[in-house]
Amino acid sequence: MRLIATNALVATIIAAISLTSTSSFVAAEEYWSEQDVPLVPQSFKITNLLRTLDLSKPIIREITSAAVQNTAEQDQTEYYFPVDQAYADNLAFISAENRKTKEALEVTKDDKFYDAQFQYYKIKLATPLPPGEKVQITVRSSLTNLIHAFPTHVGQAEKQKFVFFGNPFALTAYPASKQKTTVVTPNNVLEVHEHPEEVDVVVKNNQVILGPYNDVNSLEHGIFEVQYEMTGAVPHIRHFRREIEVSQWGNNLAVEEHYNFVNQGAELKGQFSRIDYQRNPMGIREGNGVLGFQTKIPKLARDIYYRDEIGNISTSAIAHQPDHVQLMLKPRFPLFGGWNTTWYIGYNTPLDGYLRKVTGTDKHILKVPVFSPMPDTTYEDVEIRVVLPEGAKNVKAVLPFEVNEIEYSTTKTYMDSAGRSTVTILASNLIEDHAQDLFIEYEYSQVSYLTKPLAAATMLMAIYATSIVFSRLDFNIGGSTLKK
Amino acid sequence: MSTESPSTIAKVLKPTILILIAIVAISSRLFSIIRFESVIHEFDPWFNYRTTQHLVKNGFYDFWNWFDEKSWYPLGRVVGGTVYPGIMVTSALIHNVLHFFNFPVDIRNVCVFLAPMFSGLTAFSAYLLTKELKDSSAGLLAAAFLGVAPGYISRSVAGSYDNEGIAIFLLVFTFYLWIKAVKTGSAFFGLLTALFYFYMVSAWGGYVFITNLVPLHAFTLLLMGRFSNRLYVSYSTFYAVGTLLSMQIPFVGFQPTRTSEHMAALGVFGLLQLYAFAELIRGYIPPKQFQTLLKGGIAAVAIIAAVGLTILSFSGVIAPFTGRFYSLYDTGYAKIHIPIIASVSEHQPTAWTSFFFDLQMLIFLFPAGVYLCFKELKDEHVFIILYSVFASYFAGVMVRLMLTLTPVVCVSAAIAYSTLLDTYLETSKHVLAVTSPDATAIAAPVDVTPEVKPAGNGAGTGSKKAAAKAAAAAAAAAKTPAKSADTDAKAQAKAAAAASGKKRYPIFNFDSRALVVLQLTWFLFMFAWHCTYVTSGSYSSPSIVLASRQQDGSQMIIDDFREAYYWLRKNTKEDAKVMSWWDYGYQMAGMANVTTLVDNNTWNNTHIATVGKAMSTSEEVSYKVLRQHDVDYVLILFGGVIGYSGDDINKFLWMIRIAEGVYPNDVKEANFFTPRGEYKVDHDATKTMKESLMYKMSYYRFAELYGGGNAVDHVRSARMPAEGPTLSVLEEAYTTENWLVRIYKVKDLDILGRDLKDSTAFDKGKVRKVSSLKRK
Repeated sequence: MRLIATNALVATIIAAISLTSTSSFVAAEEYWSEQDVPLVPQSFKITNLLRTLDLSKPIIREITSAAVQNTAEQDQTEYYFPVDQAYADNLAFISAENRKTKEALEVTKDDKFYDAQFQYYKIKLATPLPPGEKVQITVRSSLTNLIHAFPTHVGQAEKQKFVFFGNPFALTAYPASKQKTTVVTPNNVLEVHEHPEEVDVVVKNNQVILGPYNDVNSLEHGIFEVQYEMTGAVPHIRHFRREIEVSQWGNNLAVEEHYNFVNQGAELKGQFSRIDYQRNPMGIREGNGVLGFQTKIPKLARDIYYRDEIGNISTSAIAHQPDHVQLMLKPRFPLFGGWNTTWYIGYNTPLDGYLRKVTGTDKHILKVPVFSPMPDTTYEDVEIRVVLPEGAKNVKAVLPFEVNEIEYSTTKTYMDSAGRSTVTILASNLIEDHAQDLFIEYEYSQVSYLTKPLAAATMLMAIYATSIVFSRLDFNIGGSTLKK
Repeated sequence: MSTESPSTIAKVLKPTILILIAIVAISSRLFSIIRFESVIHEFDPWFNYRTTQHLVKNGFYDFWNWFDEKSWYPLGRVVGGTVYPGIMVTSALIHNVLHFFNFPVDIRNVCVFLAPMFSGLTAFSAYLLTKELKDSSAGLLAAAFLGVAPGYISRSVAGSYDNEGIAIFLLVFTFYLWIKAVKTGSAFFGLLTALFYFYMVSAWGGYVFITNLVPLHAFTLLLMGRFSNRLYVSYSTFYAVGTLLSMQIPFVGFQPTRTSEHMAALGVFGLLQLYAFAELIRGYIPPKQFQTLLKGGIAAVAIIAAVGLTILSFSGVIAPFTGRFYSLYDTGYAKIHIPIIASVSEHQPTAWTSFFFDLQMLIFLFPAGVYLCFKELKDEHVFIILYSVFASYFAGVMVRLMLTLTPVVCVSAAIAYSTLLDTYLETSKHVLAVTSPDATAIAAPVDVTPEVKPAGNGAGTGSKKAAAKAAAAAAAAAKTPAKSADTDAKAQAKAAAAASGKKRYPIFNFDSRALVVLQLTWFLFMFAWHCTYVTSGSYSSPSIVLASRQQDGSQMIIDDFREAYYWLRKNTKEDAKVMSWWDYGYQMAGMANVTTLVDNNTWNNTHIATVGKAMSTSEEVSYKVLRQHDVDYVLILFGGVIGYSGDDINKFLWMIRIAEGVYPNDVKEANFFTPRGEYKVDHDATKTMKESLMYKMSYYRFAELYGGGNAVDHVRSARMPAEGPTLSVLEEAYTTENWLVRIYKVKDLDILGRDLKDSTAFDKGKVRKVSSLKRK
């Protein structure tokens, strides 16, 4: 009887999940039928693997720590890490390190071994691994948009629940002698459903321990589902635009950031009631309303503003910290699940520290953060525009991560004659981890410093000259002599 | 310095002073920007801003043909044909020119700063106008006065993006051009007058003022026997070109030929033609025959005109005067016949205090200036006299028309002030050279001196008739030499030193001169102080943001309006229809980007009355109205929590009145008053009141805020019942932080086909009474 009930629940949950995830199950279902043979060379064996799935935040952090042995005849330098193609759009960030030495390892998206099912990431070992030797590799990946609120609607101060579907096995390109997965949730685990049923499950408070399993095949698949409580919002920025304008004349870096925000938590059931909200201010913490955002901006930032389409938003505060300015932005209204808002912030900051001139040449290197991140927030669609001073040539942008597109164009703004070189960077699915520095290289000669004042002077001269000519002309019909 | 002639210095000084005046005029209008932010104020400016955005985004032709389906749902509004496009086109033009030169100024900033910028131009045109009447020093004074006069600032602060912002400049400038045209008799200036008249027509409905004042001036000149070819040329050019141009504005269309408001201009035009024709004939035939011909001609024309006008009026070819026009003659008219006009506070008659508030010392100098105009009485002075008489009348009738009065007050006050200064600052050398060494003439002013002192002091205490007193004193002094020295001498001794080379009677005594001049300077200081005080205190609030002081002295900003509007903008479906009282229509369309039922355009009284009906009837009745109009949300203002008195319960009586005018069977004003004739919202409120949708929406769950008992409405100081109203056809959708704006969602029909009242009761666990079942 109980079993039937559970099955029914699973069925409902699956039905409630959005179409995209459902299709991934279908794909997985097909997949189980046949034994997979990984495309990558089978030169490793995994002796032990520990995997942690951290669900305590809306962005899922997966840490896979594997002890790897070289089973081939030659030294090995490349280790492959597979990611299910169904999650390709969800994988926001991936990094690897040598667990012993804490040395970061280079991770690149592999384009040699590629199929419809899996995308491999190539991890380059710092030193070639001799045959029979072992190395411990930790891969950290961040996955976005994988959890779903269930039930989909909750009341104003109600706790929201989420479900997560995942693979109970750590996906590996090589067979593993032993592996174990720990799932960490923010609160007590409510329900766990597993598929296939032979998987061992231990539930301890807010942890689910899957395994240990012995002798797991490469690319082993399964499915398990966990439902848990999580308070707080699921912040998501649909569109993010950052504009950076460099002025070498004014020694100024002007930054403006536009946000289009939605709270992806469980949607608000019914309508918003101010009285309930006011009478129970603590209750809101239990629910998923967003009361404010925090972001860091540079220490020397000035002229800070916080606005939206209809003007200034008066509810914001600034806290000066030793090394940065903390911006506390409060939206006009609390943002419950499914509620949207937009805003933009901006400030000016001295250019020192961002721009370096390569001595002896006209070459300048600009180093600015890609964006100032908000914690636990996913940035779906990102546009970064860097406007360089007028006269900058041979512009080249170097980014710390893969982006969709880099465009070079020109922008015309105040007092421009030729236009300013502009770099537009388009990226998607960014998270905190991407908030690194981007570099822009360009040539800017000393002569270019003079273009602006010269242009202004010419303009004024033209105005004066015209007025001089006009004041001497006589527009009277019949001429001035007639009048006199 | 000494090598430079005074005229060279003046040449440099005048533009400098004018530029400084413009800077002062602009900067004194920026209080709200500095205190708050660069934002559009009030209500109407939001519509102008929205249409400007549309114009900038979609271009002129699209704007011209724009059918706005987001207002007056389900009727919509043909925007291109129902607006005065002047202000929008002006800002769009400025915006596009700036963008052409790569100055990417936001259209919002163009709109916000448009009125202050134009106020600088207005000051300049006041200078030009006054220069034509007296001299350039009076012109500078007039420019300075108009630059800071609160009467004009009230409608032209930064962010007050309304037609008046540019219209006052156009008004003054058109008048200047007209005077110039009459003075010179130049077709060129006549044409310019017409062009600026066209600009004015495109910018503001108040153009009718020009349409009537200019013909009146011409007519008066005619009656005074001052017909001249100058007048003929300038008026004919102005009228012919101006009328044709004005008809290019779709909103005006054929009005210049068909409405009574425009008939005077046409009549005067005809009269001038006849007169000119008569003049022509007079040159060719003997006087006696001409007399007969003239008499016959006048009689015939008068009869034809009268009969024709009557027939055309009655047959409807010429529209009779509109209601708004009538209300200018009879202040009680609107209250009885058109409550929607009377409900607007700016259409109320002016309280006398506001004359002082808006014009301060200028209002005392104003009559003196007009008197001085009478003394000169050239063609242009006649114009100023007419202008002051009519503008004074209109300003007395409607608060809003204070705006048209302000320029003429500034001009005549400047004339008066400058004349005073001329008299008292005259350097004796120069005067001696001009005047004859007449002993009595010199003696007279010397005697005046002691008399002037107390008079001057009297004026300092704020006496209204400072100038008049001085005149009386001077008159008294003038008795000594010869009582019969005639009025001419008296007046000259008083103040008005005629600009022409007449005899002058200067005041030699340094003390007396210093005293008067210092006094006048002191007045100027007071005036500047008053203007700044009034501007900063009363006219610089954006009204979409309310500022208050907290107990610790820090500023607290109440931003509930934008909170609600932005919520609507971001969290309702694209085509959500929101019903509210018309006051907030423009703001909702502009800020919340939702479809509104009624707005500040108020062109359709029935539609407004329908909204009034939905607000003032019971849930059952109003639900039908709401469903019929596809209303998704209802928005109301409620100030009971923070004591904001401009809320909807206080406006409710107007809604009832307007609704009753159209739906007398559904809404009765009397039912909202207690038997003792009081308008109550507490325990004593009538049943109709308590059942009205507005009451229910305002006080829904209000008492709970006070935890049961002791709920107090802070606007009406009313103790509210602990048991608040219940709602069944609406549900609360959003209430802002200070409860200032409450938004309700209209429920869908019940899925089981029940009455919404029953289904709500059922959801709350109440069982329907058997009796109510039986009845059915």
